[in-house]
Amino acid sequence: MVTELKRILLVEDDPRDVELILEALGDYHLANEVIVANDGEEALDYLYRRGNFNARHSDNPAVVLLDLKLPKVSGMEVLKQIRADEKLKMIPIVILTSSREDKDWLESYKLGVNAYVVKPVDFHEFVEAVKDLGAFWAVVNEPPPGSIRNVRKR
Amino acid sequence: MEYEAKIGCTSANKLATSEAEPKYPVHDTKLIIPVTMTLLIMLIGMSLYQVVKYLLFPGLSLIKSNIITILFSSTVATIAVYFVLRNRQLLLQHTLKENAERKKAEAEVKNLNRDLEYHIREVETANKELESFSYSVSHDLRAPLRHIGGYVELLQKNASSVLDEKSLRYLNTISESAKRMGLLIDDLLTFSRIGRVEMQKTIFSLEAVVEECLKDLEREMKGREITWAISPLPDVYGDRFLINLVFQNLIANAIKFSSPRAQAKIEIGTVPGKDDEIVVFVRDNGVGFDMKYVDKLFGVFQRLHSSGQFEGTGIGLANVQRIIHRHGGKTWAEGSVDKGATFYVSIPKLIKGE
Repeated sequence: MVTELKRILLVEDDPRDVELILEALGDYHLANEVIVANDGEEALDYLYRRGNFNARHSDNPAVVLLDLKLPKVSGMEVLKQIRADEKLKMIPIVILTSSREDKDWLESYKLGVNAYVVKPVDFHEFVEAVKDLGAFWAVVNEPPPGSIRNVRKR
Repeated sequence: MEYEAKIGCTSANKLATSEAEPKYPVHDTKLIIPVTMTLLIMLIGMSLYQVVKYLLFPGLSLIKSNIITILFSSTVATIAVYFVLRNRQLLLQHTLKENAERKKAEAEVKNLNRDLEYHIREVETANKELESFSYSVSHDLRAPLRHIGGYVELLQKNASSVLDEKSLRYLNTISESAKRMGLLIDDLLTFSRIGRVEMQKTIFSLEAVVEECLKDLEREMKGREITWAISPLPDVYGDRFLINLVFQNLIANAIKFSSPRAQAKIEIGTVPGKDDEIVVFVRDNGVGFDMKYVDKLFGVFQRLHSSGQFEGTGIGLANVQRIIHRHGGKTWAEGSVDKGATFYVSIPKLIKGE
């Protein structure tokens, strides 16, 4: 069976959250194409192909899973920059955060986010949410032009 | 004299408003009428004197007559001038007093305004602090909690074959506790948000709100035998979402605490209150409470029953009270152990012109 898997950019500073997210995605064989950026600056480096990522392929990720509270450059700032850039602005962005604050939620949608997901405290719900996100954005959704689909066998 | 002076004042004010400097028009223009009156009185006095003199002393010489005339008229004039000056003095004093009083009042208003501004700033600062506090709770407390739950789960998955039953139970307890703490944090956040969210007040049917609540609570009523007695309810003025939350909580409580009854009875209705408010009650025939603890009922995380008896974190009535307080109303309760409880909320009516 051939499954099309598209690359996911996970922007998350907490290594425990990264591990749990990868665990959840891994359970459903969705983890292979996840690139992890540990802060907002790294995320922008990846998207602009600079610093450690200057040699990467030119395709955009199919989705960015973005935490809001990040060191150096905040998630909101990353979102703002992506939406302001001609080449990046179509990339689907999903906010994946602990914050349920109305301020963050409203501001994110105003800046044109595609989805806003509050990380559930309950692990089962958390796994479900991450799995749904991975399955939808990396499998079901047709990404905008600019992101290459990686075909792999399973 | 007073009367004329007053008239003089108003007409003078009218005159003065059209002039360049209308600030203190009272002092000079106010004299027009008193002075005119004085001159008139002098004339009348002189004429009267002439008549009296002619009638009483027809044989008086011209010089003597004129001296007496002058003496008489100057006496009248002096008296008149005295009254005019006194009146003017009184007016002046009055104006000075008024000015002083106005200045004092202005100073008082200024001070009050300054105090008010200070308090508003204080409240704003407190609100901001609260906001950043709840943000930090929201973000920073939930994350480690999720990790505890997550890693316990992973441990259960990966190590269940090598762990004994006791250890597995420990893991289960850790997981349950983490979940419970998650619930408490979420409740606290909701409570804090209820206090901060901007209210959008409209007039809506309370009856429709109660109907919605009953529909939403259908799951809680499953397998229960409940008699409902819902009286016609009025329209109220408030934030529909928040008032819905109030009745959601009150009705859910009534359902929950009447669960030991084979035949539960829940009444919802109004009682007469003050003219400017609507008082609604929710009554059940459940386990009730001891009036000794009535003050604790509406406190955050205050519970009168163990979590083994009845589920819940104890935030519901605190939310109810906070919402009703924000609407300018009051909450209170009556009950006795095993004889049911009645919860009242008062909601102020819309004042016309608001």
